[in-house]
Amino acid sequence: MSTTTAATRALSVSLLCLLVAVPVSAASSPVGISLSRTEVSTRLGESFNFDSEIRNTGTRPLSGLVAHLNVVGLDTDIYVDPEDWSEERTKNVASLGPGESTDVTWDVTAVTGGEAAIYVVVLPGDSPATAREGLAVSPAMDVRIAEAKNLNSGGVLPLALGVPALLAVAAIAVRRRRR
Amino acid sequence: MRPGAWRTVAGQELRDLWLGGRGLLLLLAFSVLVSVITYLGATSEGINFLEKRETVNLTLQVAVIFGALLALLVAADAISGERERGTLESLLLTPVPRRHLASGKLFAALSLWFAALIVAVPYIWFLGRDVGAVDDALVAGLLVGTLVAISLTAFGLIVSVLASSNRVSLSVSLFVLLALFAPTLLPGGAKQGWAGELFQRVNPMTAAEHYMRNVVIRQFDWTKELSWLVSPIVASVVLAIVAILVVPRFISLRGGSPG
Repeated sequence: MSTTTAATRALSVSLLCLLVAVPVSAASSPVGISLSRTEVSTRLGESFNFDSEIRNTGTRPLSGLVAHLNVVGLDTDIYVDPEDWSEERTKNVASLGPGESTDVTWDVTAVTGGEAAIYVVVLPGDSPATAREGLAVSPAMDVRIAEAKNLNSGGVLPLALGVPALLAVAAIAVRRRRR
Repeated sequence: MRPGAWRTVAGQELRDLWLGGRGLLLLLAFSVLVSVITYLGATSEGINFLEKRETVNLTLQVAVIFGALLALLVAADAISGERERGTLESLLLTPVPRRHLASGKLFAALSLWFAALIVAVPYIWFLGRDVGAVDDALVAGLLVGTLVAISLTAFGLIVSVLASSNRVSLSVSLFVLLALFAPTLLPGGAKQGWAGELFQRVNPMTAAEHYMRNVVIRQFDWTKELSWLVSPIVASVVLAIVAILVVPRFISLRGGSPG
């Protein structure tokens, strides 16, 4: 193999690697999202709602959009299961002509104390991986939940043993009385 | 015929059940089961608000199902048991109309459900006090559980009158209870759509479970989804009427279906 051929092959491989390594630039979404609230302070167990305005900022009509609600825990020790926060986290969005907008309402229950962020994502329902429209993401809403209630049910053992013990004593007493 | 004869029957049955010790033993087994469920629920770590209410709902569900089961077992034994123990004949010779006999036995069997609910109260309070679920759970449990208990107790009594043996009566009653309860274990997806919702609404057990879930976990007002209680109400009224007014005329020493 000549030096020129080897160099050419090495160059080709390098270019290929470069092509593969360069990320495909994300398509800018023609969808704009704004939230009706920027922050919420609430208490554990309380429910609240907010609207997300989804606007078609492009020049083509859009249909088949899907809006999705996400919850992220911001404290290190907070465990977030988004399903518990909202029963309906995915909603279909009505078709939007250029410049048109629609409001989608989200009902949320604060099920964990601490600080969390909530945001809405809109993505095309058909072939979201290859569609010209990329993901549209709303600004995050800051949610602070005061942990007014202690959910640690300590001291269950006296109850778990006490009630059956009481009934057992009553059963024995009734049995002895019968004799 | 004495108009309050059913009270005399009920009094005698209550004495047999509670002073005879059988009721307390059944209640003891019930309390052990609810203790285990409560212990497991209370010692779960990292549980959030919703999961805590789910634990309250699970405990309430167990209380309703097993409380009603106890009442069902006593009712399913009411006539067929007397027949097999050879005490039915003397009972039929007493000057008590048969429907009063059925009413008294139904009432006594139902006392087990109310006793089970009273036993469940400290457990519900313990689990639900931190998440404000105690009142919701107790109201839903009393309302729904009583309807379920009346339906099952009346059904047990009907089967007990018509069954050829006590074993058949208990087996049929348990089978029907499990058959009604099994759909509550279906995953959420299987309950979607009009057919799924219709099936849920028609089955008194699934409808009752749905109502309790909405009140206890989703914090709905207890008046909000009363339409879900239609089938439990219909079942309890119809079965109680059949058990008290229709079936008693078939009480006989031989047993077996009429005709």
